[in-house]
Amino acid sequence: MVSRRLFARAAVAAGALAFAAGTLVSAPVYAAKPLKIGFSMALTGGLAGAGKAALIAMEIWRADVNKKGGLLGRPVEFVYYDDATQPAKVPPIYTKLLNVDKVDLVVSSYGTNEIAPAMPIVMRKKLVFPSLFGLAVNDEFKYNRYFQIMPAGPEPKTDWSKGFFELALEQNPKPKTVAIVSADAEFALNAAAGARKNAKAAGFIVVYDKTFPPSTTDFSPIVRAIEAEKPDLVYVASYPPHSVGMVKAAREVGLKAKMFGGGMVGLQFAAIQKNLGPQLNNIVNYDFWVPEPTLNFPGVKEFLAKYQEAAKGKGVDPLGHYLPPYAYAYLQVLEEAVNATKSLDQGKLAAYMHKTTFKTVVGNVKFGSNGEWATSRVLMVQFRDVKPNDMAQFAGPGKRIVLYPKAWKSGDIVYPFNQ
Amino acid sequence: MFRNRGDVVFWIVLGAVLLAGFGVTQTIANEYYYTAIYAILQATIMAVAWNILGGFTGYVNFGSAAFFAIGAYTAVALDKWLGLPMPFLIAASAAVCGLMGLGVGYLTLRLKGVYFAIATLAMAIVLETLINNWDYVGAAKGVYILTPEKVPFFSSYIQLLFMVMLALTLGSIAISRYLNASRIGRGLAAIRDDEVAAECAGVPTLRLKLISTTLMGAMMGVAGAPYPFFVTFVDPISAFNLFVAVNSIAMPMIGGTAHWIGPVIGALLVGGAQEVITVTVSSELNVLIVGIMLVLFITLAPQGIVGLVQKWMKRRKR
Amino acid sequence: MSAPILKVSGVSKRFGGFTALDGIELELGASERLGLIGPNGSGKTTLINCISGALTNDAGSIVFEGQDITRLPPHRRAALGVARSFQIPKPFRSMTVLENLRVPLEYAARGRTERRRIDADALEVLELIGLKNRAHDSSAGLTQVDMRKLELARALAAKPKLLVSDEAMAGLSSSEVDEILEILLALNGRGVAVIMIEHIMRAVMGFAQRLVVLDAGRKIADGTPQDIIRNPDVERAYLGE
Repeated sequence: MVSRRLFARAAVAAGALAFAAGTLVSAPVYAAKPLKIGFSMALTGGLAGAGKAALIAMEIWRADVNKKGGLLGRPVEFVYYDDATQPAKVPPIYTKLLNVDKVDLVVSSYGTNEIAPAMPIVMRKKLVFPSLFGLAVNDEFKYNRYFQIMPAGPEPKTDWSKGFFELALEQNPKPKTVAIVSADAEFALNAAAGARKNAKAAGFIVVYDKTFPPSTTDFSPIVRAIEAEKPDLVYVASYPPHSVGMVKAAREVGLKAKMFGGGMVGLQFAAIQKNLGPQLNNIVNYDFWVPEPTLNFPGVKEFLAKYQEAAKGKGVDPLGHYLPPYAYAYLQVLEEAVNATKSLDQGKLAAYMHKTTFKTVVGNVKFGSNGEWATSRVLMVQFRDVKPNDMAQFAGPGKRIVLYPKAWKSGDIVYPFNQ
Repeated sequence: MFRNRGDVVFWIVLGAVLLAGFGVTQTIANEYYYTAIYAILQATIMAVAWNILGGFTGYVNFGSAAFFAIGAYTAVALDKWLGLPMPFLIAASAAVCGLMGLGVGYLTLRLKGVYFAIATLAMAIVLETLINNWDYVGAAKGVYILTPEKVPFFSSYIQLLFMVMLALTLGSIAISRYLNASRIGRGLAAIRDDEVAAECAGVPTLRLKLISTTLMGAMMGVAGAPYPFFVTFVDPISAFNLFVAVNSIAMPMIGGTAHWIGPVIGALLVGGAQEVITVTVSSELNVLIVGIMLVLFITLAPQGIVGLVQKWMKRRKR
Repeated sequence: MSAPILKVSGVSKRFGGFTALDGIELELGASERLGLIGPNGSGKTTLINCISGALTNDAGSIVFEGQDITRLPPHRRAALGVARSFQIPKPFRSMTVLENLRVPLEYAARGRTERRRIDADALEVLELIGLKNRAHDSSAGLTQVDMRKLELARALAAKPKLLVSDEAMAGLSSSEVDEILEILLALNGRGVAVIMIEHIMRAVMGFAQRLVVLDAGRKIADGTPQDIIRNPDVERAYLGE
């Protein structure tokens, strides 16, 4: 004897089943299995600002490529997880992507700390690994299927600051002395080490060479100490909060050096540029892409327009000049390799990626044998005519003049810095 | 060791888990499960370790995860210097961190309550600064660890790490359980409940507290020793990560601090939840999970899950 | 009197500029019942803190059974046989009544107890104190008077030769005071010397064989209860000029 309650429950269950089955039957059958690209990205934690910006750029690429029919006739899907800027989360994420989600291709997360932990995993599976902004990661692993989209160059640590010192060498009268100051943290120390090498090779005398703790907030004493040595050149390697502090302190103290800047992370970000305004004028600092006419690569303006629209209200860099074009490009490289080899064979892809010059939104990209760019394209740009409290001025040309390398030069240097 | 039937059951279960773990490595090759479970095992050791000083002895401390980081860096330093095999690295980390626990205990245990907690936090910062400036282990730049391609007995390196961690976890649980039920454990509980009364009842409070910090330090160091081989890149910021520290406090508090099984339950529950959320929902939720659970448990169930179970069992008896 | 079990000689204790104890001389015989009285702030608690080891005196010495214990930490003195109960009871709240007694049995009384007899010894003490039927109850939920009893039970479980009881009867009803007195007398009957600090005069008078009176850190009288009542210095100390 079936009770009324039991009957009712059974009826509901049967109904639900029927409904579900119906949905499945009536669902459109896709022509081809999706092509899955897997990665981890810092969507929370210290690097979330950059990670989220990168993801926006990557989603734009995915929409673009799917409009063209996908890859190998298959719609591209992303499978990604938040690594929360914690290196310990990266191995579980990549092993899941590969062993459980069974993605077809992998790319890296953002930043050295998040790229390195994935290396042994991708190396074991012999996968092509396009990477997004890690400094000299492959120096340790020496993996022949690693491809770094950051344009640091074959010797990243020294290439970073080479331009700064070559520009200095061109000046007349030749400067003699240099001060090197850096934050006591991973990237900055590497940059400073490279600067030291370049300075010595160029024949400059290092009159000040110190580091400061990452927690420093008052930079006036540091700038005063530097000023006391009266250096001709001042090379700074720092992270965003330090960069802001150093620029402000330099103006406050009235730094008299002839060239100031170098390796300050942060001066490439729209919000900081607006904040510092005219204090940036004449600073010569590194950058990767600026809206100068010499860097108007095919597709970059369209990409930036889409990015700036998508970035509204997301708490990321509103202009997106620094990282997003490269996040788009590292997938473009993969796209071209897959289309050209018409396969997902990692060996074939790697071979193609080593020998090809790719055309991307950040220009021509050619990788060297160690996976870094074959030629460095760390730009040295000089801020000029910056007006106060105006972010839109940085959207167009004229405010960040490219001085180096010569191939991309868009103007002449204003030297000395302290006019 | 085999004082009663409870002991026998415990050791049988432990042995079974270890054997099952080994069996799994020989049958399942999917690396994801090993990496995910590694993280949970590491959290378990740290929760068990923290609980020895925080739960059993009642000295809440915020700097304990620094021992984890020093354990990791000791392994890195010795690996670079002498290339010692893993068991030696683990033993060395245990020794170094145990001594550190002893030293730190001696310096800070004369402080009580809030002052002790703050002092431990300060100690963690001092240690991080020291590592930040030690060039041999990469200082602020961090250091890479290359792991071998092939390992004996296992089809991948991560399986080896998994077995190592499993053995260490089971070992630390056994030590914690033994302590909980021992004379020393009862002395620690007396210190936790009322240190002055304990001293007057003949409990050598300073000595027991030092044993507690030494053991906690050694266990945390043991949890840290295999870590560099798991992530292959270690730098002070990620090793001394505050999230790791908070986890090792939250897990015992959620599981229950008075009983040896409390931190285990807390770690499995919270750690497991975190691993699942990382690869499913994957949003800010993951960061929130520990905080919400902690607040809920501290306000509604301060005795933790163990306390809830005990209450429920008492109610059933009536 | 045969060799005193406790000899306090010239003990002084200062807190900054304030002298809490000034040259205290005191002797206690084995199994003696001593009452320690005096107005509030006279230094009674400070003195027993020095005896039990919670404080270290600045001058003078404390000798217990011929051994100088002046510099020993409290847990060592407990092992030697000096027990102390607290004015405000300090039970081990996470433990049952029985488990509370295990601690002193396993630690202070370790040298005097066989391991397999620990629970039996604990139950014996509870029987004497009158808490046997609460042995497996949580110590956190006891009534006031039961908590005082537990306090004494714990002190007794340490198998002491000297018990210092600090106002064990404060705030209790008349019949409850009698209960505690009975316990202390039974304790003393087993050979434990007792120093009792108490303000309830009928309890002290009835219990003590000898009274020591402190006033402003100094001992002003030392004698039988009858002598002390008639002592004009004592009268002056309590009632003023």
